[in-house]
Amino acid sequence: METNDTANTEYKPRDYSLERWIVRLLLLLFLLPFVAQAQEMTTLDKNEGAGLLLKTATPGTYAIVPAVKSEVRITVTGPIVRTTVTQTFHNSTGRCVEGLYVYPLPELSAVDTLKMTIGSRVIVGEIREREQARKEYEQAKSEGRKAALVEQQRPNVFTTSVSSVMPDDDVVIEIAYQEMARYENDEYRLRFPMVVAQRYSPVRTTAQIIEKAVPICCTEASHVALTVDLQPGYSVRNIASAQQVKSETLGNRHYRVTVDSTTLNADHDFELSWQPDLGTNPEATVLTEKLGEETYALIMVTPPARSSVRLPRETIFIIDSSGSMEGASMQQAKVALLLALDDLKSGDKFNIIDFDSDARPLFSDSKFADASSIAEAKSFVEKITADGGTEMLKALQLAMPEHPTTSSGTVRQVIFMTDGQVSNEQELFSFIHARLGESRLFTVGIGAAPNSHFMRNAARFGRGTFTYIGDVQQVQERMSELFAKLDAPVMTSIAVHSNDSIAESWPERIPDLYRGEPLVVAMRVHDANAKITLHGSIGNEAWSKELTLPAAVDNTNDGIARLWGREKIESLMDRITDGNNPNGVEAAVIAVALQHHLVSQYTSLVAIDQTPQGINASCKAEPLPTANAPDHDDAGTLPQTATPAALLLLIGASLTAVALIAMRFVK
Amino acid sequence: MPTLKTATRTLAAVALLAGLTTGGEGLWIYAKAKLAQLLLEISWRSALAGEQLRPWPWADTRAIARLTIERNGATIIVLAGASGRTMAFGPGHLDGTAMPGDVGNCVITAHRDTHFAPLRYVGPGDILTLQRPDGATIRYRVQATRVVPKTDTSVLRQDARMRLTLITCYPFDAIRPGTPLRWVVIAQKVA
Repeated sequence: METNDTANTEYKPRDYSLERWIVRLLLLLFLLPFVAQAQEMTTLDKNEGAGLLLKTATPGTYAIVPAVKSEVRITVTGPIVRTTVTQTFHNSTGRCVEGLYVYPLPELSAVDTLKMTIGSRVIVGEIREREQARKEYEQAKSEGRKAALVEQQRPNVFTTSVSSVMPDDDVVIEIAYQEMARYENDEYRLRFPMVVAQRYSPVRTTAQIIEKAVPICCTEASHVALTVDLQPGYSVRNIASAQQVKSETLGNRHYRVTVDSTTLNADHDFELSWQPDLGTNPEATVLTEKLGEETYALIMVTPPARSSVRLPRETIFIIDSSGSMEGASMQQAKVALLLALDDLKSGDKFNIIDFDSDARPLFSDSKFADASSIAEAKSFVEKITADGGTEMLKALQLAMPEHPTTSSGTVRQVIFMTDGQVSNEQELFSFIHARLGESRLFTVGIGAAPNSHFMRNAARFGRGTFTYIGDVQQVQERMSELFAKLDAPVMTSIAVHSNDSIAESWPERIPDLYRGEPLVVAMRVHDANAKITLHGSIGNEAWSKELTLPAAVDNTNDGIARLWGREKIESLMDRITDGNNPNGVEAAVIAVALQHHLVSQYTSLVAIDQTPQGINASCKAEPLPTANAPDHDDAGTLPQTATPAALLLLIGASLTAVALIAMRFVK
Repeated sequence: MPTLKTATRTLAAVALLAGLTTGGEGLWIYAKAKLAQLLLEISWRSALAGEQLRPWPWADTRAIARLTIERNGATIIVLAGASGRTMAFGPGHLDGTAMPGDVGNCVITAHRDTHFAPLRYVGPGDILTLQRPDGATIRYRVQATRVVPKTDTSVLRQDARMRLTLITCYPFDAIRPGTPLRWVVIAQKVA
């Protein structure tokens, strides 16, 4: 030991302290430009953005705060997809500010968890009746306490108010929501939206919300990470995404998919698909969750891989050529429609309706598919150009006449290709519901961010399915899959029964089972040992299956009760469309939402300040200065009013530091 | 490897020279802004006394007003003309806009990192004063502060009100010059 000590004292390590100091200085200098990044402002006429938006002096105008860091964690249990998004923002405005956190969500999802830290404060979301929530928020704000409110202004855009953000506070917002993976064409699919698309609103309706295509994350300096933890309950083959992903197997029926921040393309939604093995017959499975005294069951009926029945069809294609479709979307829709025309069999009848502000049918009545009618149809499609409004109702009125001339025994299918950018959704749903008759409505979503809430529900009211095409490369594949499915409804007249007399299941009206689209029914039973029976017809044959509820294991199938609650709320809301008293519906929805911890049309997440007493970090928010709309009457620009001094100093100091280090090393 | 060592040493010397030159250039900008104001202050006092002396023999501009920001007591001599050359020495009065105390909009611009750096802290209600060469002092109260794109020339508009508009680049912390936004302070003459 002693000798070692001696050796150590004799050995004089080179003194690198100057180098270390210089390196630190250099790092600091190079980091400065990022620290002092500019505040991006939005002017009134470009009221856009997603993420954290700060109020400015002009009402309705916001300054965009880019996220410093965004983390997305998706867990898949069975078909239930649970997503947790954590975004970090920094208030570099030098002021006390307030604003909004806006986030685009997938359809049918509800934020049920919110956690926010503003500086040193911790705020946690709880479900409240909406009016009450607003009152509590206003009170908290007037008392100078920090508060946040999550509101569901439209079914797939969530808004959180963020107040009292002090200068240099970090704002970390974590939200969680769940949805169902879509099952189609033998594969499950989940989508994480990266943009909120601008929507067209016909003149007579008003919708006030920030809706314009803006990437939710991913500014220069921001970091984005996305992971999917996949536990589907069966073995999976072919995990695929249009984005560059890395997938690995963690264990038995347990997979993980990660997306590299550097390759993530924020211009397109993130999509992931995976395939289970399919049998030769329809299959039914059930999963359960216990919540309080009740047992919640998730019943899934999957179609067989193949089916051989084929009935003559009449197909009405509706193609959206409104202004929002311009560019790649219009091209995709046209390609899809041309493919569809090629797929028509002789003996099938068809027609095409092209609409924007007006609706134009190809033929006055459907024609048999032959060489001449198809040639005529193709030249009709080629001439379609995208402009004008989106008056969908006119097109639907043509496609679903009061007295269709379809002969009996013919399957009447309406295929609707659109980006769904409309605001009068309820009116359209009512129409579809009333006029559907024996027709079936299939929606095909086109473009980077179609309004899938509208299209999924239109298909649900239309007892059809929704197909999403995210990319022009996918058109052929997805459309041929859709046609294969349309060729054959697998099972009709499906019903779910239970010996538990107070069992309640959603949806109430179960649609037909098609090839490539499973049925999902959420059921609540009081008796955990209840028997569930499924009935249906395959062609002229009766089909039935009895299911026994598996014992619910704690903390595994988390989300089934929430799904049931969500389905019930959706069904309750449909009653308004059916003409029921909105007040009665409201009370029922509130009861379900409170019990299942869900945000709905009538309930909000209200943020409760859980910061320990003694930390007083409130401030009075002041609006940010507003950027005026440029005045186009005057030409020219304002003088250049900054010197390059700081930049020159930065470059000079860097060069000097490099030189000093180099000299030190060659000594 | 003496040749490598020599090469590195030469390169380092070049880099050092370039670094000191560039850094010095940056420092000179700050120094010039400070120094010029000292000389301008002397020139301004001569103007108040009756005859304005050139602040320095080769000066191609003259002092037209003394701006005071009451919030921090900062006083800055304003020069005629808002060219880059002028603004190196002091805030420039934009030609064609109203003169201090006249009816109309008096527009003064300066660099955000030198003379107008204090504008960051100016807000509605703050008092700005302009002293003219004849000694008269005009008081203005700040009505609003705004961030506008540099194409927004509406802030230069002249009308019957007696206003003072101060313009500088925005954001204040940007490292690079040439940002597309401007910080505008709009003040109204106190009656």
